[in-house]
Amino acid sequence: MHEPGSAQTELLLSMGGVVGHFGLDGAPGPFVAQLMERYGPYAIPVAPWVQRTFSVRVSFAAASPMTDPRVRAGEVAARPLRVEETDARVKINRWDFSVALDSVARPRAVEGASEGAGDGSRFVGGGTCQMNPFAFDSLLRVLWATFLPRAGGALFHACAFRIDERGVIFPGESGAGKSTLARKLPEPERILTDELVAVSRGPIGQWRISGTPFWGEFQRGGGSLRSWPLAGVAFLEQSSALDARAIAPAEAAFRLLACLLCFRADADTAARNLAIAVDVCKEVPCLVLRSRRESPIEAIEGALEAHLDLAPSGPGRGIAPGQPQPADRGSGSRRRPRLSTRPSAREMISEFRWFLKARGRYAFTPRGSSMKPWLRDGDSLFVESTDASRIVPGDIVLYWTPGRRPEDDRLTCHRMVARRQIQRGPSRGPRIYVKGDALSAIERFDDGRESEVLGRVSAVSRDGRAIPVPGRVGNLARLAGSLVATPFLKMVGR
Amino acid sequence: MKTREPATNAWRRASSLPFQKLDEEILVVDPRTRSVHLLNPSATRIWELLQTPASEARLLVSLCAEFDAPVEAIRADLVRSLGELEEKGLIGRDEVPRGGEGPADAAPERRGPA
Repeated sequence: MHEPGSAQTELLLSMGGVVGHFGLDGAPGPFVAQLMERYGPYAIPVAPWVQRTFSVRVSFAAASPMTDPRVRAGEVAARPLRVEETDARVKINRWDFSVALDSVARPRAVEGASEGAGDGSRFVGGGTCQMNPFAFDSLLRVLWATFLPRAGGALFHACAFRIDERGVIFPGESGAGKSTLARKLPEPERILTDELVAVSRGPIGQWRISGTPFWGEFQRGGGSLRSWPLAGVAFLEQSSALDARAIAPAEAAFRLLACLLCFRADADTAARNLAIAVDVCKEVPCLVLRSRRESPIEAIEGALEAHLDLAPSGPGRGIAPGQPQPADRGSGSRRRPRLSTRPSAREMISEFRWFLKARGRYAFTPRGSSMKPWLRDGDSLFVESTDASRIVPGDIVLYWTPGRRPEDDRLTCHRMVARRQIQRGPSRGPRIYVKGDALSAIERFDDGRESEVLGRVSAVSRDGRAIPVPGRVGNLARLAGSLVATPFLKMVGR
Repeated sequence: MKTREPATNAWRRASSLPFQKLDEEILVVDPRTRSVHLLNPSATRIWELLQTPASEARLLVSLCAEFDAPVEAIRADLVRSLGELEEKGLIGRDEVPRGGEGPADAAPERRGPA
């Protein structure tokens, strides 16, 4: 039973390929909204069929007021961070949070444990956290620092950005200049993080990097869960002159290990971390980058390019039908080489969501025939950013439906038929009914839970002309026309 | 008949330290102190020879067989390296009973636990 004014909701986050599900219990709406805003770029719709690495139900408790710093220091000292980990169990305990997760092979038989093994989670558990964004952020850092290495990756203290379609990480301890370097980039969409980067193996075994919501000084940053092939590791050093020199894998691994985020100190964990660092440094060029605080980013990138292979190496691809592309290719956009490896559909859609929100509108070339005859082959759609609260029947909406695996996610463009507001239960929120004009069946989804509305079509690009989508009256007429073919009973049955 | 050394202190690796060899250098992680050590080629060779505990004399014999250098120079390098490795807690000394020492020509371990 929840207190009046409290909210129970869920959050499904993906970083470095690790998908974590959070049941957020007992937190008031504003606090949940704060979490959603901070971690939204890494969130995916909380569909129950999405494969999850872990699922944890967190009960939030009001943070105790700390009037006396000595009291707080005593509390912190009495319960420092402690991470216990076996193949079957992960237990994390600190003065302001505590969670325990068990492998689904041995479900945790405690009250408050999260959903069962049916959701595909490999680890399931529950715990408590102070209602404090710093505490929850620390809990997330510990969870990903624990589960990412189990998947062969790691979190590193590093600034990271991409140069064209390749990523470079710049590991360094506090004060090495990570945030300073990140601030030099004029294009914010190229910065993945200024503090902690996720490094993991991609589907074909190639090292890839992705941003995290963990930025220096608790800043909000990052825009999507998109990953990039790792082109190199450049260790930052401050110097009076700009200079880059290649280093041997042994020295690189020695340096990289010092930047690996890890909260355990046992031989098995040390061996695993060592293997990850050595593999990265054996497979990716490593160098030391010395620069001045004033060194311009163009000079820094020039120094890097002399050592790193930043050109595409494999068969590339153009922008295929169905792939998002910028609506505005103005003078500020850079020419991008073709990709050497294809990111997952989930990553692409996440990036599309980011760009759509940031720019307000974006172009989209759909595939398929479900919207014929309204949509013709070769048409492109201009999509404007919106959410489920602002769409009306007749609108052509674009929505993201996650699949079980990242490559199964899809972006769908259908006409909205109706909306219902679900008042209670886990599906609480807007339920959206949609239909392809050429299809007889009506589909439905709970926004944010099964799918997520990303945008609404505002115009169609056809034969070189932009044709505005008619207003509400025209849209309703189109909707009525498409519903003629829909059996009434089928609609009622939904 | 094979002669045995008198009872002596044998050097041995500290137990359960993960390590990996990369080219001519070895990385050793010490989880107890959360530290990482990058061994130079000389220390790397000594580390490899200590796959089984060995006395300083046995190590010196092995190194002299491998390196074309004056014995005194090799001994000085060996003593310095052993001291540094011990100082970092990577190796220690055990008293070994007569005849209990491992063979000096044991095959070096190529890779630590991954």
